[in-house]
Amino acid sequence: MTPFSIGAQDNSVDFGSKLVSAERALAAIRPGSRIYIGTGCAAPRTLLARLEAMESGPADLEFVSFLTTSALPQVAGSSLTRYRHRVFFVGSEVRGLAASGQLDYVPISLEEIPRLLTSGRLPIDVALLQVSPPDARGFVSLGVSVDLAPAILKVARTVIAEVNPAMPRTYGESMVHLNRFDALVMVDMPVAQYVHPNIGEVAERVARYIASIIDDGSTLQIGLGRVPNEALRHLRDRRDLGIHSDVITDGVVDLVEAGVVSGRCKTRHRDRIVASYCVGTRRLYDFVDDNPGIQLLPIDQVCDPEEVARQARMVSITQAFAIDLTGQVCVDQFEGEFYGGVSTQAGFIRGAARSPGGKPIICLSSTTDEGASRIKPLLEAGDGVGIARSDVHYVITEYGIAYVFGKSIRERALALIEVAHPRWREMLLSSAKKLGYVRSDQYLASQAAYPVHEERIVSLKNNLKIMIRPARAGDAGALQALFHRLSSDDIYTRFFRRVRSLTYRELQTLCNVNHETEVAFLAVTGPRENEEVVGSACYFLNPTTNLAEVAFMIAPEFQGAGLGTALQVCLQEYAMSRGVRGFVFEILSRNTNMLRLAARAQGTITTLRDEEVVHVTALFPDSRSPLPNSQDAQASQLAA
Amino acid sequence: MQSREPRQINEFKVIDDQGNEYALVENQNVVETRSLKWLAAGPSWFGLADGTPVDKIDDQTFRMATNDTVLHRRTG
Repeated sequence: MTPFSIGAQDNSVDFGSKLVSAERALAAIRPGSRIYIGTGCAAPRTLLARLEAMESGPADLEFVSFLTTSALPQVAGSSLTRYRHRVFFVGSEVRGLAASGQLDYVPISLEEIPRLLTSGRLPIDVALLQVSPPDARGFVSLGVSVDLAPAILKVARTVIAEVNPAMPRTYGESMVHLNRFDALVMVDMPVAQYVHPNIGEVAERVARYIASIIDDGSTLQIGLGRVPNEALRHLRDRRDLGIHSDVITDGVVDLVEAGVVSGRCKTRHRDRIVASYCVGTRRLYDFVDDNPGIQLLPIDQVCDPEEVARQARMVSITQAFAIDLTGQVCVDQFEGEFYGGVSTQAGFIRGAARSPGGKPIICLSSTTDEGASRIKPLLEAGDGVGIARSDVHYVITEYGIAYVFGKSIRERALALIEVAHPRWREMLLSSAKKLGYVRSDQYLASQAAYPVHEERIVSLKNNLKIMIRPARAGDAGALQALFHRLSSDDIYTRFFRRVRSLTYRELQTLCNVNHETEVAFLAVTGPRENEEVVGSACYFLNPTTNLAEVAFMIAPEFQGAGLGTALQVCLQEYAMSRGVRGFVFEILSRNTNMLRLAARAQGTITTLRDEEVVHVTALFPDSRSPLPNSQDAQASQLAA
Repeated sequence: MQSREPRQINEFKVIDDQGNEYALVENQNVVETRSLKWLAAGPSWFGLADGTPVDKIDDQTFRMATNDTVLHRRTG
């Protein structure tokens, strides 16, 4: 045991006098006590093991904890405890205790727990913690887990800690003076480590989608979920990210070392990583040790929705068990079993939603390991709602990204069905019709994943950047808004008739496409959650000729800005990659803008004039075979 | 291409010499392309909203086939 002495600045506490054996420290615990256990990797494992091993230990103890990792004695892979456990999060270590009636789960947002404690509604008799050795002034560090400890230290009648030289000394509100402790027990053992299991291909695809919507300068909250942590691996090309998270993991170290996390753009705690606890490997613990760039703060400070909202571009990522078609999210009870917890998700989601440029993200794989859909018509008995439908913004699966905030039930249902597993989409659509969520004539043309890789940013002549992306069934409303911005002449030259409004069926024709023989792209401005459609381009393949009929709509203020050309390039690349032979344009002869656009198509252009309509055929460069019908010669002659 | 169908392709106001106003519709057999364009498939024909057939004299002038009432396209 290493002797410690208090420095000259504070000799009022004799560290040595507080050092006792585990048995003697634990003797202070009375039967019937409620005992708080330090969080996660800072759980006092030695004290717990001794307590459990006592032949005639105190009776009727109740342990209170947020999250335990490698804290309870294990027998044949299962946790074995003589006592009851009141937990705020049902982790894998305590989950099995439910069957024996030893587990009490308290659904509560973690940031509310300090108030619960200080109000006296959950009295704590004893706190068992693990801390670093004291410094010269008599301050130990709470190490990798600050989270609930400051609140506990205010209310616990007796405080006992393991002092472990392996525990890193962390900054923030981590320092506690020795005089707050009633007994200290020296231990010298590695701090518990946690390695995220490797995730499969599906989760990796979810992670890639998540990463795709995280912008440079964003501040991240990642939680403990495997998918959010995998998403970190796909952010290596971002710049100036920040971290404001309940927990940090090894993935954060990777991003710091890669120069991706600088905290430079944070609007609170600039240049600092803020978290409440760490879960990871020794590499993470070495990273946070004596590192003033990492601030570990109490959970109620870090996770307060108002504090979260003060960070600009705050991105919160929550992994869910299931979601229904209205957007209700199941995070702590799935198929009757409590697992996980409310944790900090509700607070971070609300905070990120109010953050300027913030993005609250719910992620989940589209199916369970057994293949059942995690996107359900209705949550079932035994599925608990942890996040209200009104708080949900982004929902990401391996089939794409749905944005549902502010959307109607019909729009949500459609958007969520489009990111469900194709095997379940028909069932979901059928159920949505029965529930009255969508129209009875609603269909979904595409059974494939939304082709997110086809999204592209283009610069127009006016230097404005716009996104061109594949259309979805849920774009009908935005397409209708574009239609109503067109002049009556634009509408006539697009549809060759006077049209007051497009029917729902017609709108669906232009956006609810199969992305194979029917293809539609939209040009959109604004952030993903507040897009405005300013252009539409679509093609419809004639399988007999392998030629596709093309049509465009461009918002008036974007006409002449090069948007039509950009959309045409996009359509043509897509078509050529699928072996389409060429495009057919039907253009009113007075529509000179469209005639010019058609003339810019790559390949061999032929035209055929028929009274008011010019039929333009563009055969793509690698498919210059003759047209397969009798009009070929005539078309060529007219073109000549 | 889909099959040709008669569709109303235009509607505008006309007035007779007594100042009575009528809604005149223009119909035509069209083929709707998959992109929802209506391609003309033959000449158009005119009629009043109640089905009375109307002959076109020129772009501005029409005549009711039943009683020879002359109708003028309303401008403005």
